[in-house]
Amino acid sequence: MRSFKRSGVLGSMLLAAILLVTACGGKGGNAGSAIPSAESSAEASSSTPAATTPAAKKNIKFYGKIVEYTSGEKMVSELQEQLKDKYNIEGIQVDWANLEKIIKTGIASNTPADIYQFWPQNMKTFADANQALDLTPYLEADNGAWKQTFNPTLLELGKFDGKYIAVPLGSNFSVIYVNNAIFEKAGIPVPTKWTWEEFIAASKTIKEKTDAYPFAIGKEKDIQPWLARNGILSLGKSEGKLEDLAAGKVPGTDPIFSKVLSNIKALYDNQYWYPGKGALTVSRDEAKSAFYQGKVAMLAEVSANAGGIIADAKDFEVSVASWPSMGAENAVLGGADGLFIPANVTDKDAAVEVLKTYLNESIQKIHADEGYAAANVNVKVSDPVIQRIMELSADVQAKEFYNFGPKIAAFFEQEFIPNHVLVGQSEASVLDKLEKVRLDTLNK
Amino acid sequence: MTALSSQRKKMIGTGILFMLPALAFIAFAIFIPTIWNVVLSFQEWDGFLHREWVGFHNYKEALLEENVRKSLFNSIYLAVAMTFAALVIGTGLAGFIYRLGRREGAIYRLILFMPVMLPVAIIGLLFTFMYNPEMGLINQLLRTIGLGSWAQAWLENPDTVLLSIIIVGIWRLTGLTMMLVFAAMQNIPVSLFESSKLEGASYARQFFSIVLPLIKPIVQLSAIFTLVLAFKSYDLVFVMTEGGPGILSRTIPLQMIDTAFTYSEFGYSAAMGFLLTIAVMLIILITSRILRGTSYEY
Repeated sequence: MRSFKRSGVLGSMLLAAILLVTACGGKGGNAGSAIPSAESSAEASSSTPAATTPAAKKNIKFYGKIVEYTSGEKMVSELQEQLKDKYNIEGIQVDWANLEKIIKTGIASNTPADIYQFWPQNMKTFADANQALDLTPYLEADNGAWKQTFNPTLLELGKFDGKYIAVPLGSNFSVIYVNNAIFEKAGIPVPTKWTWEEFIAASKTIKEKTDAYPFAIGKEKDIQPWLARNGILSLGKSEGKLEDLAAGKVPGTDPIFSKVLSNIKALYDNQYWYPGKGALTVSRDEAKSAFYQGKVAMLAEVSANAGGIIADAKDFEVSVASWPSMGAENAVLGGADGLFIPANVTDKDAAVEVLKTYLNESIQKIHADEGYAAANVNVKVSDPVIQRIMELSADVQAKEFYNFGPKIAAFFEQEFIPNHVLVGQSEASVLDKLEKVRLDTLNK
Repeated sequence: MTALSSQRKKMIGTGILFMLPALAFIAFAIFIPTIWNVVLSFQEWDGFLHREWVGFHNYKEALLEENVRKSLFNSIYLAVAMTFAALVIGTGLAGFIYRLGRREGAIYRLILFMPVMLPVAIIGLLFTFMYNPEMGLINQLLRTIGLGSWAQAWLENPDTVLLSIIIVGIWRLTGLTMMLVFAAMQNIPVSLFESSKLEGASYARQFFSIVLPLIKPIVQLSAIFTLVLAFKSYDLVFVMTEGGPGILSRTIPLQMIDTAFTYSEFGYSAAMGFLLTIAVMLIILITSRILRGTSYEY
């Protein structure tokens, strides 16, 4: 009895000790040991080295698998295949809705992925906090061999304070997909480039002559603000204020913002925006479904989805039109999909090697063959729709007021349109708040 | 005497040993993060390198910023409304089910408790489809019965968005309060009902004069439990509206996430979290006081 009790006590002590050690143990994932500080150089391998194998494969977390692209899975598979002797590459699907949170959590907890997908033109928040690895030495090594593989315009999007902190995967910007059948029924020629007034006139005709709603756009915070952002870019370009807008020098009470706000309100009040009441809460998927069902004449979407949208619109032909310009000149938001390496990555050289491989010609050819405009200049595009999209990319302006600060972006995502259109706040009230946010950002 | 105290010491020691794993887990999962959060709330930290002590600056900012106050109000409003309605309806349903036969009662209890078992994200998605202005079940039903003018963009209209979320919360939580109250009613001696019936009391009279006073401690417990669940409404609000449209249905957890992970203001976010904690504790205290009842032995 006594020995049984003793065994029981010893067993409990052992269990408690195991649990305590487990709770106090190193971080999860593939890190073999905890990294003491973010500033420590990435000397340790990112994987637990095998005790007996001399050159163990390193584990790489590649947070850049874009499943929405038909090329996404294929590119990651090819990457894993090409580097199978050196790395165990885990391709992680990009969660667009929570991307920034996921990245910042990973960096703050000192267990970041080795490579992250993020838009180079939106990297300011990471640049300001020095959270992205400076890729300049790698790009300029060997007389700029790697640098020369990129479209120079797209590569510049990831340059902040003279340093390249992100590299482009392919161009991506906002466009309008047009249901040719509805336009034909309404007797309107399918546009290529048009003004906001022409867009509203076409919307009015579509509403009068067909059963379809003229326009649809998803509620998501990275999509719905396009209405405002493109308007501001277009008007800013027309008035020669693009640089000042990007630098946050234009007050929030400027007539540019007022015109954008009133144009958007008119679009909503006239019920040109699917499905009328509830337009601000329609999801991206619902907007797309309505477009495929022929309920909507024009769908706002990214250019990179052209192949998929054209293929899924089985009952009608789809054309790609430019975003209607609110000003005399057109300018649209966008830039590129891209990738970066966090500054506190475990093994910088390994991460760069994987990044270089992913963006090489053979893998990017997969991307181009699936109908996407790859950023690698050595990859040629033959699809006429993609060529058309590449023509439209001439109007892309990556530097915009929206990117001036995270609170500016949040204001456009959450308050700019709904406060005026739904809540009924006056234009002056909304713009005063925008000005306050601008000044707070400027003074920070 | 010495042998007894030595025995007692061994027992205590064994007890502590068995508690150690659970204590370790609670310490790492709850105590340490809570203390860390409080400490962080007095600092400015960008989540990476820059960190400095700022005293009560974060709390002052949180109380002065309109969006934070609105989010805090929404959090409290949603939680209190959901809890109150779920409690009243749940207690009423328990009263009705108590009168049913064994089999029928079991079926009703299962049906009413099922929403509690569903994942919140699924519930949120389900009701998002139901509230859809064009294809949603609610608007379609209203149009079918000739009340098309009542059809709304439920999750877009500023007047209905919070109410729509509250209704979902009530639907989700009512089964829980119903079950707790029903279980409490099972412990009431049947003789009390019989004797009151002989006195001429109807069931309604019995319910209000006998049942409710006797089960008040359980109702209090149920209210606190439901309140805590209702305050954890992040996933429901996120799935249904993401705090929108605009910031109309924004709650403190959503505001905290944006503050920490979009604006890189982790200290400020921690301060908001602590303010919510204080608000929750105050409301629980008030609820306990209001629903304070005497425990009876029978």
